[in-house]
This record gives sequence, C-alpha cells and structure tokens, in this order.
Amino acid sequence: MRADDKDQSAQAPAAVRRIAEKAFLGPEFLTWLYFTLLEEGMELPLPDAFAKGTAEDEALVQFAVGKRAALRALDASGARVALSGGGLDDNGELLQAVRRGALLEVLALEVAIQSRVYTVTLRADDGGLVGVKLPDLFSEPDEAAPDPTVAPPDPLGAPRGKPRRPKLKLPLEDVLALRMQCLSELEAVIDALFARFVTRRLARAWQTEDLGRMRRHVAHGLKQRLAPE
Amino acid sequence: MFGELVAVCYREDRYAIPRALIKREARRRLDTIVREEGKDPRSFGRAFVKAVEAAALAELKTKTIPRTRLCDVVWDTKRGELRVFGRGALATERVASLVERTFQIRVELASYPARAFGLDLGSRAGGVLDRLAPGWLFPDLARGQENAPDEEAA
Repeated sequence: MRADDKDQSAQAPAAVRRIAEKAFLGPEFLTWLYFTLLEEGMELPLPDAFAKGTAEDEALVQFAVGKRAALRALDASGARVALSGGGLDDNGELLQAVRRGALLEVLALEVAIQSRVYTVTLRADDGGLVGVKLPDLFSEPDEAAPDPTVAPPDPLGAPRGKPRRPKLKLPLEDVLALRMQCLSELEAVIDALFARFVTRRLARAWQTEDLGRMRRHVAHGLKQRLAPE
Repeated sequence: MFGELVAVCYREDRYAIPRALIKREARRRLDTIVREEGKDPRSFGRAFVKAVEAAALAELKTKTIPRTRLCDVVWDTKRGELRVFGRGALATERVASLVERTFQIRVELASYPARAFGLDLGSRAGGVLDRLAPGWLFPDLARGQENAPDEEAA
C-alpha cells in the first residue's frame, strides 16, 4: 500500500457510526412484522400505542398486507425482489426470497385503528412512511336514510361513481391539527410495534422462539407449494 | 404558526439547461465580441471564456421555467418532532439542512436504528443492542449450505 493510499478523511462521529452499524434493524423489523402479523391473524393488541385507560377492544389494531413489498438480500449481492399486487400475505415468491436470505425493505400495510383505516408503506432504510392515506375525516357522516321517492339505481345500468359526501368546512388550523393527529396515531402504532420488536430482538427468546417461528412459517409455506396435488 | 405547530414550505427550483445549449450561447457571444471589437479569439483566456459562459447561463435561466419541487415541513414544537413531507435526498438532506439553518435546531433522522437507541431500554438490553449483529434467518445460507424447505421443517 502506498503512503498516500491511506484514508485520511475525518471519521464520522461515534453516534452516527453507532446508528449506521445497526442499519439492519429496519429490514429485520419489517420481516418480523410481516410474519408476526400472519401468525397473529392480522390483529394485535397494542395498548402502548394508546392513552392509558383505553379499553382493551379499542387498543386492538387490525392490519392487512398491502399491495407492495420489496426484499433485498443481506449479502454483498444485494439482490432485490419487488412484488406488487394482491395476495402478498400468502406469496410464494416472498417466502422463497426470504428463504434465500432476503429481508423486507418495503412493506405496504393497511392499518385499522378503531374505526379509522390508514394505508401506508413502510420503508426500512430511513424509517419513512410513503404513500400515507389518512382516513376521511372531513366528510359529513353518511347517515341519512335513503329517499323512498328516488328510484334505486339499475344494477344492470351504466356504472355510477359513489356519490360524494359533502365536505366539512373547517378552518385550516383545525384541518392541519386533525391531519397531524392522525399521523401521530399511526406513528404511535408503528412505534409500539417497533418497541415490541426491539424487546423481542434483544431477548434470548429471539433465537429460540421468534427465528424458529419465522423459519417454520417459511418452510411450511414453501412445502405447501411444493407438495403434489 | 398554528398553535404548537410550525408549518413551513420549502421550494426548490431546478434549472435543467443542457450543457450544449450553454456552450452554443457562449460561442455566439464570443463570435459577437470578435466581430464587433476585432479581438483575436486566441487572446481569450480560460477565465474570460468561463465568465462568458456564466453570463450566458444567467441569461438562459431568465428564459427557462425551472422545475419546482415543494416540500412541506410541519414542526411540532411541543413534541420536538419534525415531519417532512418529501422523499429522497430533498427531504433527508437539503430540507434538513435548511431547517437547521432557519431555526438553529439540530435535525436527526428518525431511522429505525435511531429509534432503537431512543427507546427506554434497561442497561442490560442497552448493552445487548450495542453489540447486536444482523441475525441470519437461515444461518445455513451464510455457510453456503442451502437445505430444502422440508428438511428445514424436520
């Protein structure tokens, strides 16, 4: 090595290096979340995500796997598998990619918190939320009884769009506060899930229980697909 | 300001002017100088040509519509949280830098590792987190021995 080949650039601060070394936590979290949701029937009680005193049934959060997922291999090859469309909660390609050493780096989810439904895509690399759809909180509730004088729509007629509900006219400050509140609610759920993952990941049970559970799920899923009819 | 929320919108203008166009405009200007002032083109120094190019670029910018990207930033002053409604380097680097310069605050990206270190873990768990390495879901892959799924189940 020549004398001027030595890297003489300033080293990144220790805190930055410490965080960079743990970049694998994001993909591991999404992979754990995917299999945990499948194992738990897409329903998790998350009391930590809600204010103290919230009723048990109200702290129950329902999930559905969305229409987008991407996996990347942990090894130097960095092979990437991108999947889109329905049925990602039972997808052989996804299981095969996991079996080959890939972890989820993007995962789309639908999250139902009490009566509010969110759509979100989680990114493992920067912890960001992509394509967030917040519940419609600005329309008047559709509680009016159908008008008997109006003829019902012809089921064989031309398709008609869903009638738009009138929008509530709120001041900008209230709209902003309401939207931020919705985002906070969603983030609280994700934070609670991540805290649960970290607790599991740092425990000895991770090796014996969580990894075993995920391996069994992958093996079972692949075996079902390989088994002759 | 909306109560405890500070909402800011940053705009980034990007001029996509082809290099060839700048060169052509600069060439036209240099030709005009040669023709009108009777100067020898070989007498033009590198710095002079660069200055003419810069002037040509400035003029082209006035005639070009920039590509605009808007990025909303909502700062919850009570919780010390900043939400950047943008993607990529615009959100994570340029807007973060602008927010730091505007408000004189330090912005940290809330990536999953950063959140993990922010959790209230005990001292033992904190030590484990410090030493944590990637956990291979299928360790046989690391050894280059891929087993069939049915063998795995067994």
